[in-house]
Amino acid sequence: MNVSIVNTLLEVKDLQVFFKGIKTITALSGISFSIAESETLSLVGETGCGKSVAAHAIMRLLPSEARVKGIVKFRGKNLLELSEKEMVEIRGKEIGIIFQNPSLALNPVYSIGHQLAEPLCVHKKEKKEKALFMAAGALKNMGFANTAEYIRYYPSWCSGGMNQRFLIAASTILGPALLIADEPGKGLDRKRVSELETELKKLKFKNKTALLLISHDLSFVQRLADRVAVMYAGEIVEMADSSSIFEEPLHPYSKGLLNSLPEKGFIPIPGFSPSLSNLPSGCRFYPRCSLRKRHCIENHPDLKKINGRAVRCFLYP
Amino acid sequence: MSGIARKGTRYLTSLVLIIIINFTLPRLMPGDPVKNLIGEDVYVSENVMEELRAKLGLDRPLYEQFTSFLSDLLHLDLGYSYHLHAPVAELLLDRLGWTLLFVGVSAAIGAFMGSLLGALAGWRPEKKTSRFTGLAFVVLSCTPPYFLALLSLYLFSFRLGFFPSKGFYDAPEIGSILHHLFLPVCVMSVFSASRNFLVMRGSVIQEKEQLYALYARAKGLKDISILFRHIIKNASLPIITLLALDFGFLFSGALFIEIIFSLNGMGTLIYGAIIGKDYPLLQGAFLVIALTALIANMLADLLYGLIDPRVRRPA
Repeated sequence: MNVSIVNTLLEVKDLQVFFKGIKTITALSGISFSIAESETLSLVGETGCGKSVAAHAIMRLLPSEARVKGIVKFRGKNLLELSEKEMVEIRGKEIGIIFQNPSLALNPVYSIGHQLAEPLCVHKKEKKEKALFMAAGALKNMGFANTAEYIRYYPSWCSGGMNQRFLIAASTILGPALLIADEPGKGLDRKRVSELETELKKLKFKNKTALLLISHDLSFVQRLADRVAVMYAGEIVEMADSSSIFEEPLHPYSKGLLNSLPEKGFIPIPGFSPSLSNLPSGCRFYPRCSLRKRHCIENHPDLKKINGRAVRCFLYP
Repeated sequence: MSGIARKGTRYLTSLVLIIIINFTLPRLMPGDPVKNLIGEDVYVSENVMEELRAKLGLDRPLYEQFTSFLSDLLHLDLGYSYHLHAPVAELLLDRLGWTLLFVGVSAAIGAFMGSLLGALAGWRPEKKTSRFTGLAFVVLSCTPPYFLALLSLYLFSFRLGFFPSKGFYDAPEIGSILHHLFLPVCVMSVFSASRNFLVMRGSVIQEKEQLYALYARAKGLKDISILFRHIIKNASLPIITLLALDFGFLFSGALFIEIIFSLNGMGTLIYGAIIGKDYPLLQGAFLVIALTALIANMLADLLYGLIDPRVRRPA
């Protein structure tokens, strides 16, 4: 597909994640995508489709019981083969992440300033005072007025929207080449979501940060993403340019997702996602698909390329 | 501001209650109050009895008795021990320092050791060392401290002869004091550590699952820095509460240990007072112990406010 774009920053190939337990859970069954420098790719899909697992797997933040296979190539290095020591150097410095619950992601007993300054102290070995000064500068760039006051505040004293912006500031203070935003708008009201959008756009256009945007909020994605990958039950079912997906979705699931938007009629997709410990043998979407044929129940479709986009459905041979 | 006022009222109420109980208890006991106050085993001449009865003013109304009790308290007059022939306040002050030193040092060592080992055990519970410390401290926390004291006395003093078993009084220089205090401090520290260990381990296990711990990793912090820079401060909040609550507990535990090791702290004094039914001394000791626990709780409250911004508001 778009691998031809100059300077691929991140290339994920056949990434698989299993959780071993009483039943083995296949959270990701081989997803592949790439992100070019200063490009925004969005992973969309329902809760439990593996979007967040993919984000955490890239940064190697999954719990120890997770088994990860595949290749995650970042600037030519396979992150899955690096030692923990080398990985520590990349986290927070070259790849940043923001979580969906900013008030819980910030440590309740440290001041905002301390938490913003920490990446500088850890990665750049800056002195505390200088790092705090730089942290205040970062807040000023984000449009905060009373920076000297805010760096002395604690997360519990601030609103969720403010904490979200502090979190973005902390994750981008070292200017990472890639920022992963894991459901950043979740739990925020409309006004805060549009503030967040402004913030992410600034990063995208001003700082040229590549963005991996994980969200189930399709209208939010439409305004930010260059390309979109639709995920279902641990695999990518469709990947295309943002405009193509929103104007002409191919996969029945993508169509269903768009139809569930309020402006498109609020029509929900019937049924539920399959259990990740007991995946159907054929197409994973067939139990909910209105266009299914006998063929779909028996065979698992491959991701096929057509006209610069990719879709996993037998409707498109 | 209202929070401080509320806390102030709470402590004031506790203080008043302590004083009222302290005032009523000897007056509720059956028999002649004067005889009770002096103690049953002491012979006092009739003259002294009459003098005391007049001084206590037991024929006067209760509120007058209470005001005179309060005024005595304010003058640090806790009564007179007819057993030991000395003012109670003097006796207690003389011994309080030793017990505070003993309990304070043990509580500090115990808190430090227990929290550190507990944090490490909670951070990596699957490790063999964590399992071993976990088992050891569960056993220790279930063992009564006086049993540990007897055991260590038997082993290290009688069998091996490393430490003296008594004789704390006769050598005032620092080396001897340390030599005498070593075993009892060890026993108390280990006991205090076992409680701190269990709380800290549970607390760390809970805190490491929080999102801020994952975010600390995502920021590029090393494994052990996440524990020491992010988790410990959050996980130690329950420890502060425990320390304050445990202070009274350790104090009473210390009484037994002092008796076993023949240390001349408050424990031996109280023990003697119980055996000899020296009520004035017991009454005074009760008051002092209750006040110490109250002060410990106040200090913990202040410390908590300093560490946890959630109980504060921006200035």
